[in-house]
Amino acid sequence: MSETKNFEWEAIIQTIKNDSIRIDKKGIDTPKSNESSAIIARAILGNKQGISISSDSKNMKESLLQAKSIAKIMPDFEQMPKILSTEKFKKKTLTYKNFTEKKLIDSAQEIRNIAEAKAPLISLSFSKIIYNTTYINSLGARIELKKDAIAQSLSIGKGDRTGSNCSILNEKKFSPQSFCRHALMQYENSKKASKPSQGNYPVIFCNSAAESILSPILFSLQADNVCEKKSRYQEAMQKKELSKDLTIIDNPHEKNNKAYYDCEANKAKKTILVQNGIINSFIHDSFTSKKLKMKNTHNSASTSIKPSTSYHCVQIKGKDKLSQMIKSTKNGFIAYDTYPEHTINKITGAFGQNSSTLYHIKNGEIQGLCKGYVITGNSYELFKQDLEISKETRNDLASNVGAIKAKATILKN
Amino acid sequence: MNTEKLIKEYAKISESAEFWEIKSKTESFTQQNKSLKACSKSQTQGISARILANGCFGFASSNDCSKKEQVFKTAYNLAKNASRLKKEKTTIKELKHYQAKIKPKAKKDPFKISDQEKIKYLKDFNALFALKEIKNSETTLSFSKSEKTYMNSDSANICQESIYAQLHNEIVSQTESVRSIRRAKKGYELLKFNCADFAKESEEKMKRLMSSKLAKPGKYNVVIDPDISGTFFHEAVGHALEADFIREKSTCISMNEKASIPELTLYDNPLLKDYWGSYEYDDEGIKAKKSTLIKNGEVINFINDKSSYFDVPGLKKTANARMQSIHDAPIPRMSNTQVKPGNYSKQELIEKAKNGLLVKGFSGGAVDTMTGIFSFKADEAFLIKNGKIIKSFKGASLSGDLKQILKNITGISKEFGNPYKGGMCGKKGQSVPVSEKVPYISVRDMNVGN
Repeated sequence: MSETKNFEWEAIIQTIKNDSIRIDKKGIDTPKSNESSAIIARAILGNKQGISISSDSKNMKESLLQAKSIAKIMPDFEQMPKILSTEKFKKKTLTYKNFTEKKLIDSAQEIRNIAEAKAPLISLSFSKIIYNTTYINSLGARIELKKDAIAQSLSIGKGDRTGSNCSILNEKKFSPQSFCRHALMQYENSKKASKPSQGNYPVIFCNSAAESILSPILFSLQADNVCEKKSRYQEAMQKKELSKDLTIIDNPHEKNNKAYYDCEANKAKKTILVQNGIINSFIHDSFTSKKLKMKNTHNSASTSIKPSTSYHCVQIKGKDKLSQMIKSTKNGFIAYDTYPEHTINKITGAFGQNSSTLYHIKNGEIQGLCKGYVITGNSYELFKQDLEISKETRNDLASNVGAIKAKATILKN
Repeated sequence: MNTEKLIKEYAKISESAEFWEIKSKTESFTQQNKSLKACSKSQTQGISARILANGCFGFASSNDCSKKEQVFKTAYNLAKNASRLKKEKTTIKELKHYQAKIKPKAKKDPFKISDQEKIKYLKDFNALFALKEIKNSETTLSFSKSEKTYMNSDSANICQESIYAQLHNEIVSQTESVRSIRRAKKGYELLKFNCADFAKESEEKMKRLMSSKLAKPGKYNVVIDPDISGTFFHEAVGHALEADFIREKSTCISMNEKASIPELTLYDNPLLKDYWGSYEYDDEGIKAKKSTLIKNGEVINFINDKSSYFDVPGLKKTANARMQSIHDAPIPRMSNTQVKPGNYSKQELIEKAKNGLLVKGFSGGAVDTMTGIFSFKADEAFLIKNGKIIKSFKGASLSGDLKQILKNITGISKEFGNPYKGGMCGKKGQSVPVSEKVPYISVRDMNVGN
């Protein structure tokens, strides 16, 4: 592989085993067992680079050859970063070793029984995933990581009365009861429908609803988007652009979401992105840090396009208790989830989101489910307001974000 | 053991055995402003098997094509173990199966064109975006080629080769972004079109967005362009007409329901030439056909795959089983959503609306099929006063209850939108190419936000 002068390479080999089942009212949907694999190979020839992707994880040589041939047609990068890592590291974290195919089906059945004792089941998805990732490069670095997780999603109810929950876990204690509790609570709260009039209200964004409205801010804090002039925070370093109540940290050391290295084999580290509303850092890989002359935050992502960055685990925690945030709301709303992110424009920040779990709060108490309302606003403006953020965060692998209370516009269909 | 033998072996101990093999390659080139930003090439291959045993399906897959025996065995074990949870067993109904080899209809195989030629095209194309307010212009050219084989224990043996091409551009100013796309189930010949007009249209849109304000929220008579009406019929109506949602009791539409006005007839049509969502056979080997779902306002069928066709009584078989990748079992998916044209011209619809909004360009949205509540984002809106367009606005969100909107349709145009569009549709974790051939529609009292 080293017949050419100035030829360097790195590769990520990934295999994922995913066993999953989905249960609905009529019983079980097709259970699945997938074994997928991929090599992402990157070749550097002087100041040029090429990336190739293949599902044939055994054929490293061919992948590198293709990456090299792509590098030849690419223009020179102004500041091509060198491959530097010589790290050797191996870590196996298998929490659900004994979670066999039979146990998977039994656990799903257990969740179903708990849920169905109180509410009709709409659907339940349950899967066990084993990730096996190896990084290697031309300097001899080798990082081998193996971990597993359980992903689950539950939806219960009928007609207007629904409740749902979803999570990805790698905690030792897997509790079907606590997983069902959240969905059942929502189901109970949806007993009586509520029809408040449209207008500006305080809204508590929980779980995926908080992550959705946050997505434009996170997009603008990615240095690759800064380089491409897509970021709102292009010239905002050390400036106060957001609420004093908002601190955003990328934290790879979270107990339930440990990341050890990024995709350039750099040790993952904690980065304070926003501190009390002041933009403190973007997330970088070696390319963006060189181009913008900023510190590499070790957030390289393995995609077909370099530079590209990704978060290890976004952490936003506040001082407030969620129950207190609800209690202190005289007339407002709480949304546990919203429909997918694509009703948000990450560049302008404009959003108009439906939620199947939007509840009216009156005098500190959740009144009932609000059907047919849309939450609209602009994320960049919303996060400038005074905010209340909960101590409690969603228990998920991808992020660790508390409930966020801010003013937004509620429209009625 | 070869595939035919494995299928025969498992057919002896189960109700049915199926096998898929997919080989595909993709390449994409991205030009950012004046330089080539990225070029990526990928190859994928894999196999999967599905077994129906004890009235329950089991599915297994691998990217390692040498693991045929293992995938059959895993699929069989999963079906057997999970069948104890299945309340109502699946029973097979007889279906007609075929043997066929389908070659791509593309005139110019993009994988036979040199990288240099593609890069030159991209560079010239991206240079057309010259508006001084543009901070970033990015164009991506991508192609894919796949060979899908499907075999089953009823002697089906279908091998389909397909080629797709697409050109995607995004221009970004200080506050706005405009995305434009041209895509089809075609070869390199897709790129032969009036690029200057394409760029001019994007720049004009950018200028309008930069100088426009948001529309005042409220209820409006709305004329919807085919970009958004296509998405409405696909997202809000089409998804609610997928038979797996009947089985799961999560659709708000039912068979024989008078769902809309008599002028509305809706089809799913995988046979539209060159359309992004077209195919000759679905992923369960069923020959593609145009299926009527709503006839003169009445729901007459739901799109289905084998599993939902077997489980839900009263369906006519449609060819809509589709899988995103070798790791996904087929589920009912739309192909190209088509609406029968109406009697009005676009201009007549605008005049008929009198005072309202014309909304254009789809930029996202979602629907809850169980409640029928939807929300879409339009790129632009134009104020209609006394039947004339007088002012433009940036963005508008359309929301409502699909059943109400279907009844509030006041007109359907003769004209259709651009055929070289379409998108990737997500459902149950799978994304497949889909498109629409739909006209402008006018709707009264629609809720518009910003």
